[in-house]
Amino acid sequence: MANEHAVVLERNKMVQNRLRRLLAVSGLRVAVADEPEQVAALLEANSIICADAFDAELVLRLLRTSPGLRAWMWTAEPLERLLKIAVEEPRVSNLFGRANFESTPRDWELLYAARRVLRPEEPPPFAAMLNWGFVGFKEAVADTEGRERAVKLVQRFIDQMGCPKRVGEMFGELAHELLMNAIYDAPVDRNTGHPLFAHDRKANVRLSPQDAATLRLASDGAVVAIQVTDPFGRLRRKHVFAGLARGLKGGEMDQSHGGAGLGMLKVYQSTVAMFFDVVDGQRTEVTGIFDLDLNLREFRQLAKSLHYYGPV
Amino acid sequence: MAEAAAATEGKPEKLKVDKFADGSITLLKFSGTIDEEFSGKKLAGTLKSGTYVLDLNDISKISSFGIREWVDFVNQLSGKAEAVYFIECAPKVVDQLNMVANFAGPKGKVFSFYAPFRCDYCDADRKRLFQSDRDADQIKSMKPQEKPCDQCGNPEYFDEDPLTYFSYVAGQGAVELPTDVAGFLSTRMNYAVADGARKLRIDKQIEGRSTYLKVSGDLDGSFPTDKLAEGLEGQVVFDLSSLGKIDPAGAAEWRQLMAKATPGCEQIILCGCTPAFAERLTTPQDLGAKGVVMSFSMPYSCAKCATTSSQVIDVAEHHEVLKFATPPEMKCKDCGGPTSCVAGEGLLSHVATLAKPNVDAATRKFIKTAQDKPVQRPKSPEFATTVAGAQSRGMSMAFMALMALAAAGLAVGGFVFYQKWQASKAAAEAKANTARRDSGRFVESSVGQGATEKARPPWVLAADTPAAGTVVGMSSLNEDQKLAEEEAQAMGLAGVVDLVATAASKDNNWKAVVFSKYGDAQRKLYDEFREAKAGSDDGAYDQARRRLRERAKEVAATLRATAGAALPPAAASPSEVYWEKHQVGTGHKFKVWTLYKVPPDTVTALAAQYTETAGSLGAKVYTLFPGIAWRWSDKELKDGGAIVATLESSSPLRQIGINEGYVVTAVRGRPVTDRATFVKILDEEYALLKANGGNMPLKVKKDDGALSEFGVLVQKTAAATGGNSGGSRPGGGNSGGSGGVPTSSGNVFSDDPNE
Repeated sequence: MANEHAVVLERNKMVQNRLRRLLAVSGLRVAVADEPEQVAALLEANSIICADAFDAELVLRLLRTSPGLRAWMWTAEPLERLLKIAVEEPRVSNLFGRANFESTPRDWELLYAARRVLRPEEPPPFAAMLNWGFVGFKEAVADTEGRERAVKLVQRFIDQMGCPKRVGEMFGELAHELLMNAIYDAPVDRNTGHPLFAHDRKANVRLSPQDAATLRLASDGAVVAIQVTDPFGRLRRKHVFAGLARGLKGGEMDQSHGGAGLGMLKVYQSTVAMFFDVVDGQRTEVTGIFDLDLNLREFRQLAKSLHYYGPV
Repeated sequence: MAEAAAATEGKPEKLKVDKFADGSITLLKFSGTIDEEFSGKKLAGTLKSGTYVLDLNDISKISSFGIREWVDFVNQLSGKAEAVYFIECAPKVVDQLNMVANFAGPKGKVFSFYAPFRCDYCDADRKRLFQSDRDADQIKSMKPQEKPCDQCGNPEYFDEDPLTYFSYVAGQGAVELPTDVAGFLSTRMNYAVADGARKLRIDKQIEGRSTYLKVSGDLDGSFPTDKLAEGLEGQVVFDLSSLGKIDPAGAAEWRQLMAKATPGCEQIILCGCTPAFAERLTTPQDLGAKGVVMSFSMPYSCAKCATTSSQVIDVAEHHEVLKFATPPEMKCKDCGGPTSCVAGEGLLSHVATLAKPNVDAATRKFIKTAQDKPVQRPKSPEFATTVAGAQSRGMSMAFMALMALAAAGLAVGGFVFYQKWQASKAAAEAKANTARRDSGRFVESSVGQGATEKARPPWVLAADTPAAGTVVGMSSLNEDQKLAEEEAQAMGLAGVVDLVATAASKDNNWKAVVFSKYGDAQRKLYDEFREAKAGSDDGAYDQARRRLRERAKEVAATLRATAGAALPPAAASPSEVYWEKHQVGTGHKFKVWTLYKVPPDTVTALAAQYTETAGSLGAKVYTLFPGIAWRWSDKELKDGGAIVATLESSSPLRQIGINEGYVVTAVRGRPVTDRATFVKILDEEYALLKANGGNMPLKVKKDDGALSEFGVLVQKTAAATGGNSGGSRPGGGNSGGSGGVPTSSGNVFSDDPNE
């Protein structure tokens, strides 16, 4: 279990100490480096190299020369730069936002990522995203009307928490977006593999109970977590990273690669952290986290996180 | 098994699109959700050419597929529209404009939009309307101004990332609405548009003995009756189709114009009268001997295409129907289907009284030609005159130029006089408004029944220049005598605070640190109050009065809380109270005066109370001055506080970012009410922490009004404080609780928390 190894490149000693502590407590063996030139000597064949976007060039160079390496990267700035790297390099699939250069990424997020490395067969439960004592609900969504019902439930849940109206509306949009993907884009004919409804978003869809999507929404009062799962497992890494990169690029809608990235962009803009967990052909699970303690301005300016686990 | 079916009819409408049309201008008001169910191309296909205004205030959700449909819509609309204006865009729409480059389409211009603001103290989200022309500076600089919260007076801050939020609208530059569009929005649809857009303008065309005058903008007291009536002769046509709002003064001016123009004219033809004009200004008395209504407009609604449009009714053509107060049948301009008139009963019954006009074919042709002729927009917006056929009547270009110069001279002279007259008229109006709000009809006073206003005590009569050592507080007229008395007491104590401030200002540091903090805010409140009192808007006056009264109450409360022994009971309560009862309308209102006696030694003692300092940890502080409440209405300050007067450079307070002028309200959770408690608590807590080490949090109100917590690390420890941006998470194994926020499907996690 403790064979996984992480090398942390961090110049700020306080942040470095905290990172070392958090990763070590999760069970990883951790080595720390103050300067880029120290990193190569600390690496093992399958290490995870952890660094800020500032050191992206070094990380990319090391990844090119060592095929067993993976990278976790963080940033306190907009995610565009890291997204470009993630689009090019499949071994960069964990992007952590942090408040500023003098803070670590969110500790629970680091622990989550560490746990995924140490026990890949046991992904942390939905409950791991929230403090003990949270409240939430689960709703199966098999058709268009169910989608509408679920979106209303989400909005009502958020409204009843006393959140501002715009948060409720934002979550309504988010739920709508995620459910559209789950019941329109994801379903395929099990025999032919052909998409069933992706061509017509205006059609009424009805899925069998085993093909239905599942929506989970819960909050501990500080954080809201939303998760939508479908049983098709078709979401690919490129849909996430390249799609979002296209959406963030803005400009005229570029649909030449299957979508303009608008859906992914809307999801990204409504959360502080997104987790995509895909088991090929079996399950796609998308989880979004929203921090209720942030006002809108802080939320917009905060660097976001994006994690993808699944087939490349 | 999975199946798809075509979208069914009869589902509740997610997106509602209301159409209002007037001539070539159409307003589309979108309400609800723009998602995959919205058919952009289909909607655009039903629209014709012209100018489109899209109201996007009530958009509650936009999905990614909705964006695609929307982009299809605006692209197709731009292909046929002359211009497309976006108004009152919700923040959600602004987000899309910033994200999707073609969201507005090739012809879309954003005229107005909402921006989110937040007051943390009230925990309230609000939105403020920005207009691309009026607020161009703020938009361009991407620095929206903070404004005081209407509820608590604390600053509301812009709750978005300004660089992102304003990027699209700043990039497009200022957008000004054409006069006809602005007129349509402000008068027909009651939208807020820039004042300049509603300014009156008159375009004039002359042909032979016929004069055509198109009147656009609001009809108010500024209407230049004399100037316009001068020289009107022959057949005069007023085109009133672009007329805006009509206020009583404007109506009176119009009646005068008709009266003055009648003797010199053969016929005065009113065409395109707006419903409001037709209803209010076309009685036989208004029209006089020579006035006729040729046409007027009425709103008609089409159920088939959900359009409400303004239809021009030719009185001669439909007189047989109109005289029975019945609206003529009209076809929908959009779909040609049947429509129903949605004009009010008042208009319908009035148009029944209109005489059948006798307008000959040649005049009709002249009017049509004048209406079709594009309006020349001169740089001076007051008047534009084009003389049709002047050259054919033998005028040389030089003569025309001379005439133009002479006319310009007359116009300038007239304009200056007009401005002066306007100013004196405005002053008279302001005086009348102020007087109206100061008193009604005197009924009785505290002097006793039968007494008159003349029996006011001398100190009331001299309230504006009170005797030395006294302060007079005065209330506004209030229906509740008790509230009026409270107001007068608060205003009196606020006056005491002003006296103390004058004395305390001899201390330069106090003046720089304390008075400078609130002086402007106090002045602004008074200015706003005076302005509103002189203005015609009763709502604005009530609001300004309430704001001033509430702040004065807080100033008074803070004085009582912080003055200590320096404010003797005799000075804290009025020595005399006088009230009057006035009849205002059908009810009664009270006005109260309070007299406070504040001897010079009391003022000196109070000034000392607020200018003396006490110090700890290299910081010297003043006791919170009550005048601060003019700027900040804050429950955190109601019990007092300590204002940092000076800070040594080595002070740990300076090192953690505290500055002079900041107000300390608590140390380690213990409230600081004045300079003495500041020193006491700081010394005690510092001594306590020195033994064990730790953080000493100070709650501080900064210059920008934000209440922040600053921590003094008393003993350095090795513990890493290098922040953590997220909260703590146990990391699995949680079980969900129940209760709290109601859940629709039950709390499913209680059965299997780790699922």
